[in-house]
Amino acid sequence: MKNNSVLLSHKWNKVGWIIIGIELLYFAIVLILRLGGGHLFPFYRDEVGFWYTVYRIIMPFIFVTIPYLALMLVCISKEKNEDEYIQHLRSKSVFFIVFFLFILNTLKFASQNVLYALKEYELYYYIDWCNGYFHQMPVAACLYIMLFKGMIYYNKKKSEYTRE
Amino acid sequence: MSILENNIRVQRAIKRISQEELAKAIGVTRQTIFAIENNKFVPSTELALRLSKYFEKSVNELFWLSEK
Repeated sequence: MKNNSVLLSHKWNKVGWIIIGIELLYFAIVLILRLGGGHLFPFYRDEVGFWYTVYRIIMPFIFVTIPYLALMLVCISKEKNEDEYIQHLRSKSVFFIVFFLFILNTLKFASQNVLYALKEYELYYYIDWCNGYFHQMPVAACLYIMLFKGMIYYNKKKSEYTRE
Repeated sequence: MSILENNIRVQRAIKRISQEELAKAIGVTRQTIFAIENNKFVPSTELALRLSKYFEKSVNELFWLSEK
């Protein structure tokens, strides 16, 4: 069936997942080294020199740009068998995520107004901090991926259960 | 309120084909056939016409609106 969607081809989905896998492995290695008191790049505290400059340039790419791009690739590329039902689930997921973030923001403002009036400043800033995380694009992308893949998985399992 | 119903399951039984075979024949996934049969998804005009062509029935014979 002809697919008129503007999504990227399925191979970019694979590329996105591979990058996410490598990034998670990298985060795990860095975390283990940091917990043991070490660092993957021993020159990170030098604050001068060639390697430190390279480190300062490369790190934001590894920690921010590349994971953002990988998540974006997974979000905007087609499934292996992308038909109109999958597209229906995709649009449903996008709607739910936008609706969820909208409700979250509304609750944030409502609760913060009350907390400000009650002079509960600590809780006020804590809510601000939590809400800030939910409004980060990668978090929204992760929620979208989880919901969309979850819906596909649920429908697949349900249809297999009643296989005819 | 009217809802769209269909007899794809019946037509499939008459032809003695599985959901998988039908899905392959009209170029969709098995989950799509499952969702259509269970009235969880309303197919596009294109997909309805493909089903009608495959079963050699008119779209009206496969899909109809019922009042509920």
